[in-house]
Formats: sequence, structure tokens, C-alpha cells
Amino acid sequence: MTRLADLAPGIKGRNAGAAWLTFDIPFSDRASYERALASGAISPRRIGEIYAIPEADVRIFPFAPALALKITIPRAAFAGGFDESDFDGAQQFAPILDIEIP
Amino acid sequence: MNDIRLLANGLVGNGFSYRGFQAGLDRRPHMIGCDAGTSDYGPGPLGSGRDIKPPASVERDLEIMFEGARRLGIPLIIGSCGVAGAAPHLEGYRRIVERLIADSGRPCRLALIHSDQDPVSLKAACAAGRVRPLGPVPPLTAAAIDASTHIVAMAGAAPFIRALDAGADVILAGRCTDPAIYAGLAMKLGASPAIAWHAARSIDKGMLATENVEEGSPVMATLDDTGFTVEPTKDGARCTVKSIAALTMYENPDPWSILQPSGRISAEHCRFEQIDERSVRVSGSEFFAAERPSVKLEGARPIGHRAAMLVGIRDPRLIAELDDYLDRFGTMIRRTARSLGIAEDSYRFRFLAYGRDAVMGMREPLRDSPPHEIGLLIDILAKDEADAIALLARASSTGAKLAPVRGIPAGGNFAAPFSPNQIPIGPAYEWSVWHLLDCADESDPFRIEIMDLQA
Repeated sequence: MTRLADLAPGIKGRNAGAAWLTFDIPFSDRASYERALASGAISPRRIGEIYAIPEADVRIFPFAPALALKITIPRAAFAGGFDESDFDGAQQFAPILDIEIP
Repeated sequence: MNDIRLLANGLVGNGFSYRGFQAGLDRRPHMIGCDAGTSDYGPGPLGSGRDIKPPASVERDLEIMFEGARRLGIPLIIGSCGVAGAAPHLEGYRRIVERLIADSGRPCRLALIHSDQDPVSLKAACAAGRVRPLGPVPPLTAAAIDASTHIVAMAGAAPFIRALDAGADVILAGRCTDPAIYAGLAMKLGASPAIAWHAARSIDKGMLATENVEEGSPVMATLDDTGFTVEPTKDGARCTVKSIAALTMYENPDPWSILQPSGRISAEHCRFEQIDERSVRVSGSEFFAAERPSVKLEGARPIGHRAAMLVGIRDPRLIAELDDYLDRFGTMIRRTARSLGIAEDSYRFRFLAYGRDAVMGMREPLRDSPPHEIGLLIDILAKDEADAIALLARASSTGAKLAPVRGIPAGGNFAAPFSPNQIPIGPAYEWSVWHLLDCADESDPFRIEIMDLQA
């Protein structure tokens, strides 16, 4: 079984402004990038399930020059309020590490 | 157009390679730039007016860059001074640079770009319908403006071009977009907006453009009529197609639309080529001018004083019933507040259960996987420090002695890592302004101050 983290160990997440989270997923090589893309395993539907958000809120950008996928989703709450637990959105990517890539 | 060379470091106060920087100067850059700002740390730096980088590191970085710029006679441009770029942050940097000028023995023309927004004009802009929410925030009100300690606008390239036209040797800017410090000079020297902006975006994180970030290498962009090349200036460091292309994506929701006050950068049809083992060539960048300019506004307001405590919980019975325990604990804290005469609407508290769902909250998919240990953060926000500390101190003893599970006598629930264990966090802030301001001219919201300083 291959997990996304096996093909793209450098996954990172950040705020993109105070309303969005964005995950940059750079693949180790072109074959891994194309395999992940062709598999359809990383879809708005799947990401929506993981984060319990509507799939219409998920945007996915393949960015071939960086051999990377970019996933952008709304933050659970606007950044920086009293209830904030991850100001920079640095650790919200963890559940996507385990997405299985056929 | 002759080649334009931009020498870049990433963030003032984070350090960079001295040797790499001197090698960059040998390439005769047209400017030296370094950003100093970010909103990644939340509203605290803007609300409090304080820098959060160590002063010794800030001074070291500024001193090396100032010396290099003055020796070559090229502009030094620093963006978003002091992390948040409001008046007190800019003032801190101005003092450092004035001392450097005095020590240098040579006169220097210093430009300050003030990003602070005057409440009266901002209210007028709201009334005229020129202020729009940026994301899911309420419309900006006069009350929110009055409650804010600082409100800044993010400058694009235009104010920098004005300061350069005025002959500035050093530009210290309040809040601005990261690439604006480079794009302004590049366009003034004749680069197309597309190439200027995308090159600027590719170097504005300094060493993050390299594959081996630990080398701390500055980076240089060389712009010509058909594109730009990025390379590190320290021997042994490398830029790769992946490291450069990754910056186009970084911290942006959309790589096809990187917004700036005057328009948007798009890398959708861009080509990235590795031209040697350490340099990357980029062509095909696009820039789409906005119909009318708009600048982002950031403001922060105080929400009270905070005190917190981290305790360890290892009792498996308590961990298994944690939600029930926290319910009962919360009830006790509210009861304590009443007994202390602390009004119900003047304080808030929360529990973060590290080891369970503190990081992801409701989005945590593994919330129901049983941990064997919990780090419980007890976080209290009150109207003043005395209330916050009093509530926390009482919560500390109450929570420790509360029945871990209903019906089981309390045995001491908290493992405390400090003595005393209560941590005063100080004043707390939240974003009060996160909006866009439409303007006729993108320089309008900014005041440029030029001063000739004698050594």
C-alpha cells in the first residue's frame, strides 16, 4: 500500500490569508506526480470527507513545474481568534499524509 | 532593457550567510531587499506594537545589508518593518538605521513609507463604500476602527517607486506586500510588470528559494526582456525548478492568481527551466492589471488579558471520561468566577486537550482513538491581568482535586511541569480589520517621508 506521504514526503500546510488553509504537496519525481494525479485518489470529494467539509469548498491545483499539487480549503475558523490553536495553519495537513494512492 | 539584478534576503532577524551576501555584492546588484513582515504570528505583533524578532539579530542583519548598500551606492529596501509594519515597528527600525547612518560617516537620504491608516479617513472610506471584507469577516464599522490599536494598509509597488524617484538611499516601509520591495525598483528600471512581479515573488523569501535552506544563502534574480533567472549567491547552495516553482505556490490560495494592489500575478502558463546546476530560468509569467487598485487592510484590537497553565494527565480513568470531567471542571470555574465577583461576560476560558484534538479541533479524525497521556492547556481570558491570574489559580486547585471520574475520590489530577505553574501571557488581541480598501491611486493610503541625514 502506498500512502501520499511516501510519494510526497515534503507536504506542508500554511494559512493563505486568514480565511484559507493551503497544502503544498511536492512529489519526489515526475512518475510519482503523474501516478498520484492519474489515480484520482486526491479529489475534492476525498478531501471533503477527511475534513468534513463540502467538496465544493475544496480547490485542487496541479502545478506541473513544481511537480506539486496544491489543495486549498477554508479554515475551520477565521485565523487568530481566542479559540485559535494553529495560528499559521502549520499542522492541519496531517490527515492527508495517509491518503492511499493505488 | 539592460539586465536588472535584485539581491534578496528572506526575513530581517532570521539571519543569512555573510559570505553569501558579500558574494552577492560582487555581482553588482541594483538593489538589496529584505522583507521583515508576516501575519503568520497572528494579531499580537500588530495589536501590541511590538516586534517579536530578537533586537540583536535585527541589528546584525540590517547592519550588514546597510554597509553593503552604501558601499555599492544602491538602494536598500526593507518591507513591513518590525513584523507588523505599524508606526511603533517602523520607528524601531528607523532608530537602528539612523544610528548606522551616523556611524557610517556619510550622508544618506532615508525614506519612510508609513502604512498606518487614519481612523477618520478610514471611516469616510467605509461610508463611501470603498471598504470590502476580505473573506468571511463582517463589514468594517466605525466601532471596529475605534477599537483597533493599529490599522495598516499593505503597500504595493507604487509608493516604492515614488520613494526611489525622490532619490532614497534607504527605504524603510511599514506594512507592504512581500514582493513590492523588489517589483517597484524593477519596474522603475524598465522591467515589465509580469516579469518584475513574478521575479520579486520568487525571491522575496530569500533562502527559501534554495534547495538547501540551511546554507542561509541570499538569492539573486536577474531580469531581462524575456524573463528572469534566479540563483543563490553562496557557493554550494542551489536553486532548482522545484524550489523556485514552490515559491509561486507558497502561502497563496491559488497559484494562478497571486493578488497585489495593482493586479494579479499568474504562473499558469509559465516555464521553469534548470539552466545549470544552481540556476533556474523562468519565462511566460503574466500580470493582469486590476480595473482599480485596492490595498489590504489589517487591524488588531485588544480583547483582554490572558493567563494559561499546562498540566499533564495520565490517569486512564480520567482520560476515558475526559469530556465529562471537563464539563464538571468548567462548571466549577464559572462558580469560582461568581464567587470572585467576576462578571460572566467579562471572561472566557477554554481547554485544549493535547494528545487528543487540541491541534485540529472538530476536524480531528482520530479524536476517538484513546491516548494514554493528555497535555491539558487551561487558557483564561479576562478583562485584566488580576482577574485572569485569580481565575487560573483557583482553577488550578479546583481541577486538581475534582473527582477524576464521578464517584471516584480525587487523588490529584494534574502533573505540573513548573512551579508556580500559572503562566501570565499578557494582553491578548484579535484581528479587527481584514478588509480591502479600494483607492483611486494605490499610493493614496500611504505617507512617504523623506529625510536627509548627515553623518
